[in-house]
Amino acid sequence: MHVEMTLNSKVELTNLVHAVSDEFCRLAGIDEDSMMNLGLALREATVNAMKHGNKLSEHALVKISFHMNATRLLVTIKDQGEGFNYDEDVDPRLPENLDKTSGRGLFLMRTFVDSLQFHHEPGEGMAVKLIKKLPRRDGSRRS
Amino acid sequence: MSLKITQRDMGKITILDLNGKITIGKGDLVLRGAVDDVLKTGKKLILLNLAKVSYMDSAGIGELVACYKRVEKGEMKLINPGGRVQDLLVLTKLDEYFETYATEGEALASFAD
Repeated sequence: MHVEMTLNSKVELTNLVHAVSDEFCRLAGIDEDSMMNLGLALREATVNAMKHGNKLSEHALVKISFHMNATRLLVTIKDQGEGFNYDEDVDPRLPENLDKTSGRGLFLMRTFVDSLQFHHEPGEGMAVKLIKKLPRRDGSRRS
Repeated sequence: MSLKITQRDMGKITILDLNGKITIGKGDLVLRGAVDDVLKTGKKLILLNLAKVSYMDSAGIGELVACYKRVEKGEMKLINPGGRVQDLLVLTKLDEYFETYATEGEALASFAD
């Protein structure tokens, strides 16, 4: 199952991404908590693409694709920006970082998906791939 | 549902009852405005009632921290964070940063005279 969306860099449009994610989760039989967590991870990734990738330039686009098979839901979020050094991401839970007013988005993304990958092609923007493993038919989790 | 806030005054303490989502671009700005409006009146003791906050993203979490830091010589405390909100506070270790109470009575009593 495959859905593609192209959004202007307007943060209110993240609601659409969340809605599509919720529908995929229902189709896949993902439990409600995991559904909300995945929705949050995708919102964070989409906002990052709009804000940090596209600098909130309304005409800059974010392309999002959802691809679901029997074992996983893969969501790819691609901006038109310069990329960023995701290895420099700091842990917001460290005591010295608790009073920071930003910097938790990447942490939430990593926490709520099973796999998170970044790929930047010069001139092509940053692509973030988020993978959520689907429950087996018997409801057990995949390793 | 975007964030709606109602205000109750209990002497020197202001209670802001939040209802809805604290997310980027809307809820976070509503929260910021509400706290700033309280501070402009000179009041510095604020309780945020999170019982009816259904959802927060990282911007919402960041705005809670920002509001806390803006209440410079006062105090801002949280009451009644619901399951999902409490989970996020614990996950981000902000349950160790904010003073949080399960009941309004306990929170009101905690403010120094």
